Amino acid sequence: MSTQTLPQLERREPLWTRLPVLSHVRNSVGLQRGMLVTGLVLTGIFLLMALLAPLVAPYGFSQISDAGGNFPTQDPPGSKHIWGTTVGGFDVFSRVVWGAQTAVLVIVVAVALSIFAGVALGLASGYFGGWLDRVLVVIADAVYAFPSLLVAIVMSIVISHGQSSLWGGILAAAISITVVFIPQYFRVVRAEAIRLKAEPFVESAKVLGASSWRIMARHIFRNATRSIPLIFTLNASEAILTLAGLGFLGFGIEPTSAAEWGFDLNKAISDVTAGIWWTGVFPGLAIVLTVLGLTLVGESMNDLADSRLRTRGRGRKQRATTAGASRNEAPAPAPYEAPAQHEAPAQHEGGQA
Amino acid sequence: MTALTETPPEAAGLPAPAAKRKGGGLATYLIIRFLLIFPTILILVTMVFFLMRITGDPITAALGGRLPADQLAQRIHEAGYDRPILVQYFEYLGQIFTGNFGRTISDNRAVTEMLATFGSATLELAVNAVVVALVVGIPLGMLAAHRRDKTPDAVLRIFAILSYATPVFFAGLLLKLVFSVWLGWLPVAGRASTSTEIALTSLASPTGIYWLDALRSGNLAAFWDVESHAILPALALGLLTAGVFLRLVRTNLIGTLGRDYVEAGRSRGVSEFRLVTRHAYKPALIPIITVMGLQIALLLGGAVLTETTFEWKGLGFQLAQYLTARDFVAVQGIVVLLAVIVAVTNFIVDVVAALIDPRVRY
Amino acid sequence: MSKQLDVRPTAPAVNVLDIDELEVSFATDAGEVRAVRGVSLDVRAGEVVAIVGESGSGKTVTAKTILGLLPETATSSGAVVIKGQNVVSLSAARLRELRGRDVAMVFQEPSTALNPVFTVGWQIMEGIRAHRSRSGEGQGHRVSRKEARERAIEALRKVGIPDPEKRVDYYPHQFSGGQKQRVVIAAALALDPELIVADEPTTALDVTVQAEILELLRDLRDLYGTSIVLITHNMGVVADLADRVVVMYQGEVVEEAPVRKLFAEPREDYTRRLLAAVPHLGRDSASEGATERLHQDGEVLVRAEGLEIVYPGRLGSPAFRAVEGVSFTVSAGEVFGLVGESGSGKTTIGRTIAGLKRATGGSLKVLGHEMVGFRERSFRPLRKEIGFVFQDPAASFNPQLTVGECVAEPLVVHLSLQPAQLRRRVGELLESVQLPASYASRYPHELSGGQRQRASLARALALEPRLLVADEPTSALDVSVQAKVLELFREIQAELGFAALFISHDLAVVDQLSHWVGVLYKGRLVEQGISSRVMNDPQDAYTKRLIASLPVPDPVEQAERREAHRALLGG
Repeated sequence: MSTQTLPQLERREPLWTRLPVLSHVRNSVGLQRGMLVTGLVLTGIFLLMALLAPLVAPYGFSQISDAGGNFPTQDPPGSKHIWGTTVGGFDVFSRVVWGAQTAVLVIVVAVALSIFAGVALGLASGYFGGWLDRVLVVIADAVYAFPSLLVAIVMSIVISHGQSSLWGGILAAAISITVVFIPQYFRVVRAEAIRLKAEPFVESAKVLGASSWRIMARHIFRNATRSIPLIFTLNASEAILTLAGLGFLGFGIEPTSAAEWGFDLNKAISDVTAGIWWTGVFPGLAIVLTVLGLTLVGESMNDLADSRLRTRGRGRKQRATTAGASRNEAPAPAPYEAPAQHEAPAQHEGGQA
Repeated sequence: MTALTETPPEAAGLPAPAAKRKGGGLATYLIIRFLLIFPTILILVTMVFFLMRITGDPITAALGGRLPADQLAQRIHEAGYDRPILVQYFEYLGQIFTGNFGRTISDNRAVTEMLATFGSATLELAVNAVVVALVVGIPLGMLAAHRRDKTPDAVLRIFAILSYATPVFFAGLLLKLVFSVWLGWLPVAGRASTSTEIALTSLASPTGIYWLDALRSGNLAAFWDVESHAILPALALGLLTAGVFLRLVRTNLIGTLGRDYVEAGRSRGVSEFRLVTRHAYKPALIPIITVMGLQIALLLGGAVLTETTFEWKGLGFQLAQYLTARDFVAVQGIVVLLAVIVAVTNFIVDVVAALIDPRVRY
Repeated sequence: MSKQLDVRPTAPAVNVLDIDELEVSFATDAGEVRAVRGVSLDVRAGEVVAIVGESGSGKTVTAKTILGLLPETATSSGAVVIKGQNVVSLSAARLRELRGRDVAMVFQEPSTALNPVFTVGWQIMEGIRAHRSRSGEGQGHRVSRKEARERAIEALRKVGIPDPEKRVDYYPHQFSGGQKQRVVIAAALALDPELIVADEPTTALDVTVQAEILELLRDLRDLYGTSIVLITHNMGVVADLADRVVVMYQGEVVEEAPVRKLFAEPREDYTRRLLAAVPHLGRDSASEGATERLHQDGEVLVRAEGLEIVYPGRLGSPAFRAVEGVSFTVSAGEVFGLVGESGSGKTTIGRTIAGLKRATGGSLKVLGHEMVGFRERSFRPLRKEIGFVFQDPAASFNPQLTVGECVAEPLVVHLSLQPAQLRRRVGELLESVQLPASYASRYPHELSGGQRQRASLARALALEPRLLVADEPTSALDVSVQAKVLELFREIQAELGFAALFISHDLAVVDQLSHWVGVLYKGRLVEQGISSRVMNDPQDAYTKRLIASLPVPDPVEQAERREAHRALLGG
């Protein structure tokens, strides 16, 4: 989890260049651009697959027969079932495609819920401090320090006793993940709020006599939530992993209600011993590529937002002229009386992102 | 142009860890940090207890539909689940204090005994994985920071991201497929072959950690058997954790490599290698250790999935079994034990971090 | 010791450093930035050459080039010759040998230049053991731990660290700021380099500590013949220590001259303007000729009596008394200067008056409101009567809002104006601080530091407050910018007649602005009086030392002052 800082060095340029993703692509170079573009492509494929699942998938997710009779079971990839079939006779390709839809639904519900709750709690806790803060911090720390998968399992038991229909299952998975994420958003936003509270521009508003409400809304909220898009991408990928983990333990969604990659992988474990690889490899790859895509987007955005981590376009190739040059990337000296740029506070990489 | 500025004492504190700086000393910090374990555990136990009870009692969950209603009611009454929830809660707290976690519903054994039996397997797996993660993650993280933005760094970053993106059960599945099924080099699953297992469990006072038991009994064949079973699970979990460690080391090292004191060392002619491995590494170690402590939770979550993948009969494997059986008494016991382990590990990690930091020590 | 000669006895002109046509450029997001353009200079043995300039002049980049410490984004050409080796084109291995042995560096911020988790001895030894011993002919041997430790102790002794045998095993946080800088110097001296590059070596230090470090550097030159390249923006430091001065501006050398000549008859226009902008203690005092307190008949706006401000301790650590037993008054129309070094409590007092910090004891009445037992609700109506200017102009504006929105903030909070009225008022305010009204639509980062500080002043004055608290308002600015902002402040204060509490560590700046001055030391007000009197004839022992420590930007006068105050500074 990382936090960015203000002020942003940004010129007023045409709107399209300032849209988050496009401006990121424009500003990136080399490996970073490659990572960002790869991530965007993978994420795009994932979203399209989810959106167009009814068109892309040749069969339904729980379909085991068609006009030509029952599907064969554990059929290797072939012309009719391009990725083969499972032990239950499901078409692997169709289930992978439908699985994207389930994943998107869970991500959207989970992240929306947790951002809302986490940001509100974090802002209040960080700005007002006091007892509320202390209690929330202890609870958030306790949950945060705990294996997120176990929290999700407990929540899943609470919500659905572990068995679910499509929406019941999606909601159960989403809320379980929400409970895991709230402490993360809470911590990030709270830390930002505490840092911002001591910033001179907030103190300046305080000296002017602005009310707490005005300070929170106008000065802290917008600055504290700047890193949210980044956390969003990183958490979306974590949501997929948690969902798959739940499914793998048999706590996801019933195969007849929806397709879910983790559940399919669980069923594939015993296939592998018999050398049947297609039932496991395809859903597994779907998870890896989707998470990879989202992570690459999030990572690149993080790097580009943090001037210290940004790769500079030039200069590096002429290193020979400055033999043994130092490794740290000191920003070039500002032109005379140029606007100062703030250094980001040292940050540790933490969590699972 | 820097100015002389006054900093109020609370702001003048040095960066992490959040130990105290002056007065009182290390002892106070350690005591307070130790006492903090208890509210953490209490909160988790309380949350788990009430959450699992909101939706009903464990007997209905496990046996509902399989027993006639009157038998079910009888079982519930015998187990005391029809009493007020607060009474049950305080009774549960008292039991935990004395190490009594109740009896499982599905196979009716003492939860404590179940934890002891399977805990050692999980411990073995976790230790193996941590060793893999440290041995792989730390040097590679140093390399990535040292060769920052060069080819090695790019390759390692991709490894780190991939290791994050791969669920441990899929990594396990692929490893099994390649090394066990296709190449046939290593066993598919389990902790040992059946004969070895019998030999090891029949030892006097076994530790439950198979390689240790094998060595103690001098049974080298058993030792190799155990190790060959341990390789794939340790690799699956360890490599994925190594990715996290690698990034952690890289990020923090890059942070400290940019500090003035590293530049100062460089200005005195200290070599780049030594700047990375000593001057920048030790100050980076404090946040690294602290965050690594938090990864224990991630590791335990991964262990649950790894065990299920490899039929490694530890707590995680049992957890999945009990979850399928809807045996929530057993699940609760395992969850609480893991919570205690996490809380205690984090305490140890914080103490180690404090001891490394001379600003806390003196 | 202090033979301050204009030209050092130039025996055989052996240069320890020759810089010839140095060019350095950086790759940045905005394209290539040429930081150093065609700089040539040389340093002779035993000479102190000062490179002065404001931010962006390229002085620090030049200094780093001397040790080959430029970041990877930099490209350099030209020659930097030390002992016949051109640093610019040297291989990494040769460069490493050179660093520390032939040339060493002293850093600006001693607390960050020392590694917090290693002992100071270890850090000095690292430099020693990175090189082969010079004692033997040719290759020399690798220095043993024991020998390195002895040398580290010796180096610490040289820089005046008491009890070096014991202190060698201390960690940096066990030393005070001035001692830390001594340790940094000791590390630089450990291998007896002929040349030391000192990058703003006293900027992070208090004036009294600065005097000691300058004395130490002077001793190094006099006793060991070490040449020093002194990078600084402080003309007082230049006047105190340098033999020769190189003035840089925007990457180029503007002028080079022996120190006395440069101050007496600057050749270039830029140099003249720079020197004119430097505040000079005892010149241009706001209270010049005053024999009694100005504005003393005005209404008393702030009255502190036995004021005490305590920071509560945490986790059993004792509470910290930032301010104790301080009594003073600020009357309407008066500029009250509050001076002190770091930790003196001056900022704390300013923040308490503005209601950002709680007073814990004694009495503090601000506009008649008692601040001990402070309640935000009852104080809020008074807030429009108080303006506050923060030190860091970059941080005191919300980066998400335009300058206009920031300046309008007090108007929005306290008055209900129509949008058109609001816009007009903001325009007027900006113009009153000599900014174009069109700047209202810009974002803070699009303004320079000086412009931002003007906008900050406009915001503070938006409601025409009766009291203004200015906390080090110019210390983040370059001298030439500072001079303009101070001038503006003076004009506006004279015009609007508000009372001001002007907080600064810079005695000369305070003297230029304030009618009455209070000197704080460790939370106590040790002396107060008419500014010009306090500066010329301090009564308290600490004030005497403080004023004696301040180097004035005139080498002749500074040499006399140093001689006169030798006893006071206690060598």
